[in-house]
Amino acid sequence: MMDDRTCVLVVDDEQLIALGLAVTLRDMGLQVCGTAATAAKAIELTQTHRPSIVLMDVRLKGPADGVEAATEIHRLFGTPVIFITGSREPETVERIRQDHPAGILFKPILPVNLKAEIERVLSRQAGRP
Amino acid sequence: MNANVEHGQLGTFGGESATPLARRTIGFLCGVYILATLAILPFADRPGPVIPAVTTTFGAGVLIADLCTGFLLLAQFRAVPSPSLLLLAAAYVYSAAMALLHMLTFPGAWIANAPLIGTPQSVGWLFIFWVLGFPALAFAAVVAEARFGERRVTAGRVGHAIAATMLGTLALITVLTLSATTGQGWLPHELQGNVFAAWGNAAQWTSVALSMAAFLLLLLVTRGRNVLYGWLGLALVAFAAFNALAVAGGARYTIGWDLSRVSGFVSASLLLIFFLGQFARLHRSLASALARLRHANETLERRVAERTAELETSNQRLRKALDERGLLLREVYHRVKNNLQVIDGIIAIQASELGTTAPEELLDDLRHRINALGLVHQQLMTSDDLATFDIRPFLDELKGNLSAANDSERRGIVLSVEADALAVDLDFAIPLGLLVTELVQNALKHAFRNGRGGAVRIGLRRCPDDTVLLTVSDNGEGHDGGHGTLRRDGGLGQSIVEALVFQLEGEMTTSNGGGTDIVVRIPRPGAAA
Repeated sequence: MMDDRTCVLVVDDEQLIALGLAVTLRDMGLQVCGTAATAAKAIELTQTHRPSIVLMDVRLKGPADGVEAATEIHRLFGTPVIFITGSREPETVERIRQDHPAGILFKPILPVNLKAEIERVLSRQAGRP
Repeated sequence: MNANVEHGQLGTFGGESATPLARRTIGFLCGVYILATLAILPFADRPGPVIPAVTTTFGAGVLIADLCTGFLLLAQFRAVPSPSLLLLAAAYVYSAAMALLHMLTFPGAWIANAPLIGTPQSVGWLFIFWVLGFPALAFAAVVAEARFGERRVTAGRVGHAIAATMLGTLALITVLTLSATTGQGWLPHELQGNVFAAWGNAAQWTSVALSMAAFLLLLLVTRGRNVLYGWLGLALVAFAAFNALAVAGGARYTIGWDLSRVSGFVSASLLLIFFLGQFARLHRSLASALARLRHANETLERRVAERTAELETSNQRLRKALDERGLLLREVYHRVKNNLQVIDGIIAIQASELGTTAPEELLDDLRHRINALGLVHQQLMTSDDLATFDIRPFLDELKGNLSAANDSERRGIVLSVEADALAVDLDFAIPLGLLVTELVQNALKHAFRNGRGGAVRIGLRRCPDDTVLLTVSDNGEGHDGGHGTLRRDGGLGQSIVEALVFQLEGEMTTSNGGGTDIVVRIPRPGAAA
């Protein structure tokens, strides 16, 4: 469950969104171990900080998008990824679903929904052997 | 079709007008025929070559020619049911039958020295019936043309009229045949050996008179206007010559008699030749029309193919435009949601400052930031491609709004913009607009607290190294950016300004000295990375 050691990585190419999410997460009592605007940076920060959870936007700067970054993070570190996307396009949602996401939230998101989703993911993680 | 020829009905020759050339030709031939006949008449009784086969040849030729002509005239009558054509067809069918009977009754024509049917006198009587019957029926046809002219048999009665006329003709032929083959007891002898009887000669002269009367009446009635009747006129002249030469010859195998057979064959053949000529011409016209039709068809098919290709291209363009529109619309929806999330982020950032900054000021700042976002979309809406716009009017408008909102005029602070033309898209304009808003707001809030007024200059310069230099300078007291922008107290260690500079992949430098100069060097949008 959520505690002081719970650390979240925020991945979004919109810096104000990333910053806003970071503030919101901190207000929830969570640590933010970093923000990334590209897939490469997200993977790098995941390796460095080993976050408990990753909040991932689909559209990122650079050649790879959020789904590709999440696939890689999941494969390399097994870190649960919650997608935060503005797109409800069926093909995007389908791609996300094939990536076995820990959760999906659609922008704009309410802090209460974000908190509930993080708690749900963390409790599921805690239940694992 | 020949432009000089008019048709009563398409594909028929019944009502066809004679061309001037045809009229002249027919007139000339009629004249020559009459004159030639008149010239031969004095020598007609001289012995001519004895050709036993002449009768069979003549009879067969006339039979075939007259039968074909009769059939073709009936076909014409079906197309143009004028009574005169029906009577003329009857005349030719009658003549064909008589030609056959002539062969059957002519001694030696089929079997040696004897007729196939009837008595040796039968041929003479049947010949008289022939030479009187044909011009009489032709004369009747011309009279019918004179009397009824354009009148037509009603469509439903054409078949009936043909059947009745043909049956009548057949009945007449049957009666005459029976008379000629069995009436030797009451019919006067027409032949004494090879010499014709006087009454027979009178009958033949009557035939000549009838033929010429029909010819003259035809001339009077049609005045050469109808090409079919023009050739019929020549046939009648030849028929008159046929009889005149025979009677002038006075006996078989004289020059007159021999030539009369030739003239009779010519008479029988003329309308057939006319029809054959017309068919040949019709065939040429049809072939030419078919060629034109094929050409028109090919042209049409080519045009259809071209048009189809054009439509396909146009459809592809439309589909592409539709796809682009759909894409654009989805992009817009995505942007709207993203911008709402940006606003949500800004609110979250500002909410964390509630303890240190007055709520009114925070709300004012929020409104300026939302206004900057709105201005970007406003510029996009009015741009040509809905994707990029020039940064200059945007900066001017942003400056105007910030100036008005901060009461700059009353405070004696002059805001100015000096910018190069630069096409920017949404991804560049939003962080840039927000960055300018933050920097100008900071200057207006913190640099002119002494109330002496001053100036804030916004500059945007394109540099040769594919970068853009954004400057916000003031000549105020000098400041560190002020609170509300920088969050150095937080664990995150990032401010809105820094976040925006980071997003623009820029580098920011600040210098103080008689004011504050903030310079941000940003990669030029659209420049190769």
